[in-house]
Amino acid sequence: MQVKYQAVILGGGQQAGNMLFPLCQDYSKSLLPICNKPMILYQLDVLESAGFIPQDILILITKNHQVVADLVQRRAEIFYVSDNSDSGSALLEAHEKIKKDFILLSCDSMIGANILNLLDFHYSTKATITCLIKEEDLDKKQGRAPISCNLNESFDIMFVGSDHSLLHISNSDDDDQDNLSVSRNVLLSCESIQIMTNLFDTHIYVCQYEVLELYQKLIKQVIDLQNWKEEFLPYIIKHQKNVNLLNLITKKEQGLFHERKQQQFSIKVFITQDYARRLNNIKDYQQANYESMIKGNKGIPLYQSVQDFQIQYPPDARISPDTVIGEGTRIGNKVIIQRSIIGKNCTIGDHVKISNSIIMKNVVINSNCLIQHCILSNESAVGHGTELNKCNLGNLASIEPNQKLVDECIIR
Amino acid sequence: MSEFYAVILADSYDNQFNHLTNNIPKSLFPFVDDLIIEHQINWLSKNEIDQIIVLYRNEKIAEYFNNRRRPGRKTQKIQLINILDSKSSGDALRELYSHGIIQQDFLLLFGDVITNISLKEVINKYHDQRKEDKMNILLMVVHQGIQQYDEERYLYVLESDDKLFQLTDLQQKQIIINKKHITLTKGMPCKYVIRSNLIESGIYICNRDVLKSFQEYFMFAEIKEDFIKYMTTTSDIQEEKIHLYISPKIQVSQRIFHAQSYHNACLKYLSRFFFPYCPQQQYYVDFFKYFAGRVDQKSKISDQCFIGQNTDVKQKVTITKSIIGKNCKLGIGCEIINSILWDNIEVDDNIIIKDSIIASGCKIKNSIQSQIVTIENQKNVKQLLSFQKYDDNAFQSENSDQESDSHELHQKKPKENDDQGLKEDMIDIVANCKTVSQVKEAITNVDTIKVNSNIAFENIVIAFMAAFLDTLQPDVDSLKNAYALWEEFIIRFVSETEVVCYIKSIETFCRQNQQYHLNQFLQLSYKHQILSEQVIINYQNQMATLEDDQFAKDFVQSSQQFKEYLENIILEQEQQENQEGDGEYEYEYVYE
Repeated sequence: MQVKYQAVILGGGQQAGNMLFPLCQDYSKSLLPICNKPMILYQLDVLESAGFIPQDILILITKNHQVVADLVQRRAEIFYVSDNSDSGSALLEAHEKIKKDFILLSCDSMIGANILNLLDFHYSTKATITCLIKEEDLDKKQGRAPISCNLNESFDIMFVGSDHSLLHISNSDDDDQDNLSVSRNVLLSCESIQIMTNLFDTHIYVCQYEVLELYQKLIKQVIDLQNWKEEFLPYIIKHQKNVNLLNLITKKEQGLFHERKQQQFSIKVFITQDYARRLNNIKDYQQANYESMIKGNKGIPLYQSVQDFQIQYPPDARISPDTVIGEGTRIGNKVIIQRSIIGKNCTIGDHVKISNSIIMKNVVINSNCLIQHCILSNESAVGHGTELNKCNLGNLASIEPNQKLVDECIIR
Repeated sequence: MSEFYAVILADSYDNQFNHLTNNIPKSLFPFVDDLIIEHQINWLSKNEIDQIIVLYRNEKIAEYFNNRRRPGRKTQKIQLINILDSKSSGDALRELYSHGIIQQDFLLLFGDVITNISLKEVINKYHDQRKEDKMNILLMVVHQGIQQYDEERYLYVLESDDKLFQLTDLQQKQIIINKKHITLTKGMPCKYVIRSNLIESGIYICNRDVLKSFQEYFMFAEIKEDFIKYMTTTSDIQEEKIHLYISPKIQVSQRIFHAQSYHNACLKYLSRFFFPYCPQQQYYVDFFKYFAGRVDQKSKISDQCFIGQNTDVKQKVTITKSIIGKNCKLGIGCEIINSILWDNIEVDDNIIIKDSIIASGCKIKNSIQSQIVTIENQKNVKQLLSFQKYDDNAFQSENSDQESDSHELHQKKPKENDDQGLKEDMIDIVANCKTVSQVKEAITNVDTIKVNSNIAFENIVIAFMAAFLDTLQPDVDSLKNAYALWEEFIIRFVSETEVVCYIKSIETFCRQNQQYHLNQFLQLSYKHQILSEQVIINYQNQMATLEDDQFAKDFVQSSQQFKEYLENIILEQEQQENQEGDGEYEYEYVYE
């Protein structure tokens, strides 16, 4: 019988979206749409199809993301955390709400893998924490290489043992050490260990309940563990054979002779080849949108379920077949749209050329504009005759007519 | 294969078997049914290597080969090269280079390796590597298994194609991998593997360049520590590469570092680990027992035992996991447990031999000897030597005219005191103990010695103090650490009656070495509850009465404060007792 799990989604705090400037200036990261569907709804769909009921899904957000709560109210429970908390400390604040083993997701993790496999793996290996990791295959020599699941420059260096345990994780960016220093006992725990640089952490972790208690005890001793992924996880991975750490975890059940059994502390990785992407920066966000436009065989199953609306547009508009246009959008004459996503209730004037762009709801684009590689957030407006190239507009931003802008971020 | 030489380093440069190797080099140790070197020659000839060079240090090897007659074996060309002056294997290799025999590649074998690795694939791989790159000069053969002994514990960091990147021993707690030498690029499939289940087999296939580099770098002493480390750490400059051949799981080897690995290797050999190299089939009884000698029906022999030719085992003998050599005679009712007996040994009735190695030609007499000698702690083998000094008629070692004999039980030293042996032991024990758990072991060991040899506590304390004081250094921290470490030991052996000699020995020591202060010793002893207040005060008073003694006067002065402190404590204690006494009295009063 499968143990019931609880799902915790980190909906967005103060730090959320700071790499997605300016999209998240006044807007919650979890509401950013992929193919016109807010991110967080994808997560909820995935969880529901894996069998999670609304009582078992907990979303942690800060008070200024109230809008999210309104959107998901019937599908999950909401818990408000304090404003300046980081991913780890938010989890601790919600401690009473978490009653069983839980799966921790970030609101920007898009995965195509089946969560049930991950949960089974966690259960069968009796791991303390299982991380869902995607293995990249950049080295393919046939045709065009598949796009990496992480368009950031930095990557993680991970030591993965032969029994799938994670023995060391560090970012290629922490360059203050010339040497990778790992504890001997950790390296001895597996027979053969591979040093891998092509693994991508999707920020989905299945944890046992004891991990929260450990975290609480640890945070009293070591102050610097606020962030779950950047600080807490590397810390416990580094010290996983440290007796002092293991003593902090004590199993509640006692053996026949009333001994406290020292818990086996193991952090495992579940490596998948399925689609995975984290949308925490602009490049990845754009890439995800492009991937969602691919239809047919090569399309990603995650995005296939988005409905396509038929809308009316004048016959002289040239719209490429992979464009997605939302409901209620009005399109003017002689419009050329290529490979873009346009949200609901937009107004597009005449003679507008849009290519490779992501346009969200209620956007007004006046006539004769040229928009390439841009992201236009909700309710923004673009004046007549403006040319925008690689610009990103925040919420409610507007641009004067007759501008020529390249590579700018504009907010209200 | 005609040009391929095998070089056997027939001598070890370490001191593990010192008492044995003083007489016989390790290669001539008997290993179950034959000598180690014979096993190696057999293995080499089965792998079609006929040209063997033996580098030896001990004359006995030359004698042995001169008298060697092995009918029915292929004649091999065996050359002997004398490396008398060498102090390390590096020197031996340099000597070899100077002889100029080796032109191309050769196989280097340590003299204590028992193996069944098939060399054909190894040599093929070596040649492939050489074709690829002339810079591949060394192929190290390793096998997979669990690293058991300290000498085996290494971490192998390998690149693709089994190239050795880094070899770290596991002494430090943190393993450091140099980031500069690793190429880490994003998204590349895994290139580096860290393995902890590989064991070096002591077999290397080398090119002549290896000898050349030993010649160039005079400071290279050992192959592993110096040469391989040098090659792997400076590889970006050198470009010379070392590869590993990982043998398949059924091909293993075992090196004989010390007594425990020796015993283990013998048992493995009996259990047909090194198939197809096993004791002769005709002697097989069952459960890995091989009887080449006569065993009485009423004796119990456990599995994994070997009884050599012409050996006579009498009734009611129990043998457990032991190897008995040729021409031995075991008396009635003996018990032999986990031991290796070489040839020509006579064991009288009712003797218990446990965990020992008994060399050829010994006669073991007298009543029950229980030698509880744990194999891990090497010093205990030496304890066996000193045993003889305590118990007069226990052992007699006989010189025999047969070849290659040695006595594990050392020749009779002129027996001055029993104490001499005891002192030596103590020095050994004290020097070797560095942790509290080792101290606990030491306590049991000293207990055993005391009980077995009926030594008084006093002697033990005197001997111990001598050894203990030797290890100290003049600063306070060293004293504190030493006392913290040995606290349990001292408390155990210094009781009321021995305090006098305890303090006396410290006093004499302080008199001799002015840097130590008697005061500090007393304070530490008090702190660790070795001496009580009263005893210290008595002693101080006694010292105060000594006239004409500068040392005593200094001592009295420096210890004044301590004395007052102790007197206060005694006063408090008395007051407390009085108070309690009052309380009781009142209680009675009320009750009445």
